[in-house]
Amino acid sequence: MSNPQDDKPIDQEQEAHVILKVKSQDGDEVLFKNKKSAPLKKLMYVYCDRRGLKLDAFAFIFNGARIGGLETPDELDMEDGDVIDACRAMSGGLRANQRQWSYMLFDHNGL
Amino acid sequence: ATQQQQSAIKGAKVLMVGAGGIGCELLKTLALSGFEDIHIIDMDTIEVSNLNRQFLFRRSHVGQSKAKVARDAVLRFRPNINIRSYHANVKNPEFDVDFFKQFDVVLNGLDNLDARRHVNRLCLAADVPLVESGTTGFLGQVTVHIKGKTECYECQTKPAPKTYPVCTITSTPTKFVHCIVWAKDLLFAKLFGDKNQDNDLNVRSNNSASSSKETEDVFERSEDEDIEQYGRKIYDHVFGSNIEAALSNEETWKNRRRPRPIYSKDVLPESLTQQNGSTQNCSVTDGDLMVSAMPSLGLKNPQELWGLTQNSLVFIEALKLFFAKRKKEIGHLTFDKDDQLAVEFVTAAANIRAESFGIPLHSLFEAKGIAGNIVHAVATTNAIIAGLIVIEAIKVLKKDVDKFRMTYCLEHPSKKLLLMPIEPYEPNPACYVCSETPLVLEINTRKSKLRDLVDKIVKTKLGMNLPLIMHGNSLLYEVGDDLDDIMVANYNANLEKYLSELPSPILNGSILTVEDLQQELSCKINVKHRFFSEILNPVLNSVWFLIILPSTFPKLFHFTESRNQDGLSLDIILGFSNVTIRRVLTMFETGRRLTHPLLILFCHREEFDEEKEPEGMVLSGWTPSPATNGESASTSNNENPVDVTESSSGSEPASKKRRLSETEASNHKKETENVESEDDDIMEVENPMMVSKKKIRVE
Repeated sequence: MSNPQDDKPIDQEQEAHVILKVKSQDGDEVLFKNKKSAPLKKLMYVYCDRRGLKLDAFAFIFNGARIGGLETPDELDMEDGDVIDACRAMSGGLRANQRQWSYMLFDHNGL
Repeated sequence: ATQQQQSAIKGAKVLMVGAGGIGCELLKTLALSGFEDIHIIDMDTIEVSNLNRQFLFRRSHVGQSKAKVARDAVLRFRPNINIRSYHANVKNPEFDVDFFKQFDVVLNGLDNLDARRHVNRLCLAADVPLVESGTTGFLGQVTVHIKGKTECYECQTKPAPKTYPVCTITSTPTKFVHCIVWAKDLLFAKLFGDKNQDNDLNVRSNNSASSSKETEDVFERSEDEDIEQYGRKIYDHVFGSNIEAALSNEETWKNRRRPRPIYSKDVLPESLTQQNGSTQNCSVTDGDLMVSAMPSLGLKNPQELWGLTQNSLVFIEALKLFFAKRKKEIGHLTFDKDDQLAVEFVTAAANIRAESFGIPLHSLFEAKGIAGNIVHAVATTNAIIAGLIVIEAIKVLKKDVDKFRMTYCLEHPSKKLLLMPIEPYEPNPACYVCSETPLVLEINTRKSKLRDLVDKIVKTKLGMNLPLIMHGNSLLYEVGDDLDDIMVANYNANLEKYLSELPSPILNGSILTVEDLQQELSCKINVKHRFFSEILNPVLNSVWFLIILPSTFPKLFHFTESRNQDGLSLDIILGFSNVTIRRVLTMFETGRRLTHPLLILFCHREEFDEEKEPEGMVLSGWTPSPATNGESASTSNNENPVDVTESSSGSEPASKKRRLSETEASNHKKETENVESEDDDIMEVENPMMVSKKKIRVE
């Protein structure tokens, strides 16, 4: 896949991006490279997408506060290697007829 | 401060909803923390399976009301406090807004979304703070909901388990669970379930149109066909030729591991007839659920990992047994984790498929856990959550608004902590429950009945219990005890009428008021008629180019506008996507003139897609997503939602599709300032969950 940034000087590219780690409650980690000035909604979208979940299935938490989709790494003073926690609301209950989240796969119609 | 806290706790009247896993811990913690007036509602009775973690219950209590037994158990070590128990459903009308108003705080320990939504609405209506909680396995969370100060429970959508990305299941599984879902929901359902149900079992390949006819018949068994032959035929079809058909679709496998077709002749001996004898005399049990393929194959340990051959043998044997012993049930079987033979069949099928796709195999025991979606409850998690609920409840009673936290439990420590406190969120201004934002319902008003609206939207999606529907001043539908017979007959007659034929017709642009008097929730629904013209059908279902010349632009707009008054919506006529039409309209309204020809590419689908929108209607606004922009909002309206797969090549067509519908000529792009350049904002560096470690650029 082509990267349009390729033709720019490397240091400039590093300057413009920040590498963030998204960590789920069960310890899974995914690294993302996000433009410092770009809203984080796409990162959130891609993450949910990869987990096969609806867009707002996760609360993305950075430094004890939830991230809104329109905030950018610059605004949040994010640095390389910073961790964003992705948390999900559990609904509990263990009735046999209820599917539990660990093995649930979700519908994408709402995206 | 502690004295103030003590008095706040002593004087508080709290309502606990649910006396199960969290509820037992919560009631105990509340009582020991000094709370003296506690009311409990729970409709359930105690089951044996509760006893391992709901410590207020003993074996002798099985069958009794949870709320009552929990009360009695706590009163034994706290005899002087007041606990009142209600063995009832919280959705009962007796628990109305006035009932909720008597409490200082409501604490939820529920196990389903429905009841949570109901309690949330009542708390909003009664203006009582709500502390919400939930656990699953090691995970859980506690949240605080106070009207006007923090978000309500429904400000954020709660993912409801429904279905799965079909293409991952049908053609590109990457995890064992995908194989299980395939075996359970597709293969098992196809072979033993309702034959009339649509099924995605057959791999979609390029030439699927031509082959679909013949594949249909593979699953039909003729009367005199040998069961083993039939089993082998199915085997070869689903693990052999289907995989081969999928492999012919080169595009799919560019960045994926190619699956290996498996045929029965390669793994099984020519004939299994010697085992037929054992089939006859094994499992002399009478219970259907006891029939098993394992003994005749010499398999005993459910935790043992079977190889490909063993799995294949189990597959054929289980299939045979289904036809030999349980023929009557075939056609209406559904998977049940307690059905031994079904579990064996699904395990075997999932394992063969996993082998084919290079996914690690699993034992029967593990597969059963996955197929039955069993997550073991952890008593400790419930205890932690119950403790957090009490901490938040005390803050609520002290009105320490600044100190409220919502807390998530983690399974692996983050910054050395297993609990993650977060500041509560502001109410979502677009929430239809706690704000007054109207919803938009797209529906074919000539083909949908009021019953569809009531059942599929008002009850299911809006979660209303006793709904009332009004259009203008006329009451279209109402539920309640105090209605007279004439009214009931009238409402029932309305239910069977098409929306456009109601006494007060619901048409494009109609605004409905939907209320639930019990929940004291009222919301407005703007109706958008979705019309599908058969004449335009071939045009709208394909990709089209439209060139708008500067000179025709104003006329075009007038054309669409005049047609709009007939009740057709603007975008239907020309097949614009919403975004495009909005931009065109903006250009028109701001008095911009086209200086160059405008090229619009669009691919449009106006009719409700049966797969994506099985209900034939789309309700938007009820699940507000904070991170969507205009484009993705329109995606949910009238284009295929992005087809999510776990790899780049799979999402390629979808992204192309999106571009098609949104692409304008470059000159147009320059004219609208709010179009952001969408490229390379984000890039996924590494994804351990993916098969291909390839860098993926995200559109």
